[in-house]
Amino acid sequence: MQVENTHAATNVPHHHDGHHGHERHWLLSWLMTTDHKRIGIMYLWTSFIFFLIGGAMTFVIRAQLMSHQNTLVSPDFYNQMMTMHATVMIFLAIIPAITGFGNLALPLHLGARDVAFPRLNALGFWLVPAGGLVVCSSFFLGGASENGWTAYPPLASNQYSPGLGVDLWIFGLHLLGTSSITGGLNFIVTIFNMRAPGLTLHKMSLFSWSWLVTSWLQVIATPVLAGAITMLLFDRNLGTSFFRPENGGDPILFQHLFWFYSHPAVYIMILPVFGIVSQVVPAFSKKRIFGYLPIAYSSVAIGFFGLLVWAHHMFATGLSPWFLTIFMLITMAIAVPTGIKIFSWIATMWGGIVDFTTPMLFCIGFIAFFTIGGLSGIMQSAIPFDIQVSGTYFIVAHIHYVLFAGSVMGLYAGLYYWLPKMSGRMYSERLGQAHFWLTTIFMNFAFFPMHYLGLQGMPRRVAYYAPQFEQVNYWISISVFILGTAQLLVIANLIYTLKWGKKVENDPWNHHPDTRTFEWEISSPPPHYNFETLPVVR
Amino acid sequence: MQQSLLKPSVLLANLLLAWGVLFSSDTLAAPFWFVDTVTPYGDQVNFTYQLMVWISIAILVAVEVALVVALIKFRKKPGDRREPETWSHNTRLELIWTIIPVILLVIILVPTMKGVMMLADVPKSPSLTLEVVGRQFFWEYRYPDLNVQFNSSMRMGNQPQEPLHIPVNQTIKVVFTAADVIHSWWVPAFGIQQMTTPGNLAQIPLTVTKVGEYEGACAYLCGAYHGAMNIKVKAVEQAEFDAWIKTKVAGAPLTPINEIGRIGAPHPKLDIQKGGEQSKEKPQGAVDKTIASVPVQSSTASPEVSAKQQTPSIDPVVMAKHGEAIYSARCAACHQTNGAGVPGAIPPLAGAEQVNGDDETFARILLKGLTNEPIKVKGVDYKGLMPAFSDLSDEELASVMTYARASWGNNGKAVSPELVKSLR
Repeated sequence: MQVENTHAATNVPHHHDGHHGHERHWLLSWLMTTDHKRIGIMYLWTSFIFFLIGGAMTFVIRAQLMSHQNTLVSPDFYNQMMTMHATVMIFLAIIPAITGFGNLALPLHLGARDVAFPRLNALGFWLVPAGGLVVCSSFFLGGASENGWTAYPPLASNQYSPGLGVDLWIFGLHLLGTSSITGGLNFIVTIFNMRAPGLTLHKMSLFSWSWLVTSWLQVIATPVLAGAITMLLFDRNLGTSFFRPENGGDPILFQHLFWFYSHPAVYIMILPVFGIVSQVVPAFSKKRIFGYLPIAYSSVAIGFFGLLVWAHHMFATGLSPWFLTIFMLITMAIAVPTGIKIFSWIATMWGGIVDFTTPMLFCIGFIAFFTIGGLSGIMQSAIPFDIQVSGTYFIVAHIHYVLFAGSVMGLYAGLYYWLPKMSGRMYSERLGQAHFWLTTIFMNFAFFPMHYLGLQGMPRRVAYYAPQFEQVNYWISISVFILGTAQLLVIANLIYTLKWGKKVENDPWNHHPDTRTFEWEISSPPPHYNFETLPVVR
Repeated sequence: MQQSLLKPSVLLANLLLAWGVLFSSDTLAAPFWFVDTVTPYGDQVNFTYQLMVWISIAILVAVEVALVVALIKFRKKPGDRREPETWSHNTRLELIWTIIPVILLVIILVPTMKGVMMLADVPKSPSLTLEVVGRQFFWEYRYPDLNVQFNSSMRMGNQPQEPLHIPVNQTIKVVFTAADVIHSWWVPAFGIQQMTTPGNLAQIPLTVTKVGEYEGACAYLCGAYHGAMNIKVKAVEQAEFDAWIKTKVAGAPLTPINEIGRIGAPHPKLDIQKGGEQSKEKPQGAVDKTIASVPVQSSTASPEVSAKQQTPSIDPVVMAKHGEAIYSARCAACHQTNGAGVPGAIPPLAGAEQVNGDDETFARILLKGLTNEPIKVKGVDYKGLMPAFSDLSDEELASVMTYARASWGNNGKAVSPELVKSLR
């Protein structure tokens, strides 16, 4: 995408703040905003707070696992922690964080003044803290859900999980799912209708492409999850028997419905991050992205195939092996477009001038270690091997390599990349680099040995385990404690940036003209309506 | 100094060194971090795994080397006057990294599909059928051809776990279901894991080729004590297996688990042979006579087994003796041989109000089980989760209750089969 001529205003004054903006108290102006940038920033703050809460839970989990029959917490409380760690990280940290960056950057990348439905957008945001409060309130109303984030019945039925925990978990997910669907719809309409004049789909940024696919996944898959958990809610409270075997229902039906959403959910959590990496790598290589169209259409392929592989989470369930073979083949096919992206990013660096700033380091870490998660994913597509490692620590290792080494690393790249744009100030490069190295090193110490534990026979989601795994678990715990503590450097850096950070101009990164998107043509932070005159692409 | 430490190449080298140290320690000395498999199918899984690991390592090395070379070669140097290159396509390169992964996937697919076919090959006439029933938080094992069934304890109890015994070099059909929630039966050395789902039946073939003891675990979250729900399997020669089976008490003949995973219900196919109505009328013991007369395929002779079936008696001493055998097979897994239970998880029977109280309360708990009805035993609250044991006959239930009352300092009052019958 080459912007040959933009008429973007570079110094739109700040009082250009909507029709009734300037008299409000600053707090009210945030709480009542429909500005996509402010909503994006609120998404990011919310997700970061929940990221810290979900991270604090790992301290309890790993402390319990430091010895094999630890009595530190009760097994019930352990299961609550383990369930809520996954729920908070997936639904309240990673998904709101990617949505935050989507809100922040997508309209700017499209050259639009806001999303198509700004009020719907504000509603979508406010549903997140509401859903988070509902989910987390269960701790104070008789205990949270203890069923893992997958909540398979019959364990999640009222018979085996009485109390409010599962019901509140379901209500919370309803709110968060609604947020996801409204956000997805909004972005689809925005991308199709609000691109700047001349900005055809094939000139749109790769970040926008990744959001186009992600939005469709959110709109198609999320209602199915809503249906599944509503059926569970009815089974629990209204005496229906969708999943009750004793009355002719089938627990396996829940698994089909759950994974019809939850497999695409992993692409919802990774595709926008691929988009961020596709912006940051060219920016700091000073070179146009390699293979623009293959990267764009590999996202489409990943999204399409991603909707057709849900049963690969059910290889050990006992379904017909021939039925499962189809899912295996499609799962393997996803490896090809993912590989195309990885190789294209490296080819982008090749021949460029690579600048090791913090966002670039996080992208490099992403490419180096997400690949491990991708490869263990291909291994798990093979039915017999997957059956062997189902429900074990090998899976825990895999999901943390794709969600931490993948999503979280990529989101940090986005945070450091756009922080000067959001705040108008530069972060501390020294703190950022320290954060990167500590995160990268201890992430690997924490998650790599989990492959070994799974292969040797340790199941996941256990409060107790066989004594021979104690030594490895002990060191994993130590690594997790350091990894978790290192994340506090982000808070330090945010405080530094907002208080002492050096003020920046429109484009603090000095983008090469081939890699510059519209947001770098306007002031930092951008004015309320972004562009005084819409940019035109020729 | 600090500056050089921050150099990516130096840090990467340190990182690799640290990994090397971590993975050369004694605890991680297993062959390529994978268990030794002892079944032909497990060997196939192991082979597939090794192949995939080598391919993955090759790809990983290719990616990391390309990445590191790109970073070192094209890093921004002080006083750099280079202009970045402007190309952004290379059709040949793109074809290579699209086609090579496809070829590698096809290579992986070959042993994988062989494994899938082995897994799908459930024997029609197995030399032994084993039924595995997942329960919170122990495994019930049943040999329907041999009328033997027992429960295997969880790891946290103070009683030694009775391992599941299987003969080596026999093709066993293993049938799985669950009685309460979903569990998963996983023995890494067999390469086998099977989820057990209530209301569903799963079948797999199992042939163990090496004598030995193997450990496994429940691999699907089934509640608080999921982590303590382990598996022990002892693979032995046929003769030793036969001898072990003889030590087990054969209860009333077992009905196989039916197609929808119902345990203890008459098998629908057997039902048709006998005429459905007739079988519904009869009490369970009578129905099972037809099944007991079906010839047993294993070399374990059934006469010895059936000789062990004791005629129920109303003599409390005989009842308690009979009850002891049932207790060790069905109850001791949780409540332990000494009746002390597992602190915090399973209530004790020794001195329990419910055991020493009125007959009806006691009998009801055994007949109906407890489904999350919180229960207070000797001043301690328990979650109140217990399977119903209505598959046992009136005589058997009365016997096991009489045994519990006669043991561990309890009050010793006998329970009559008629009382149990009246509560059904």
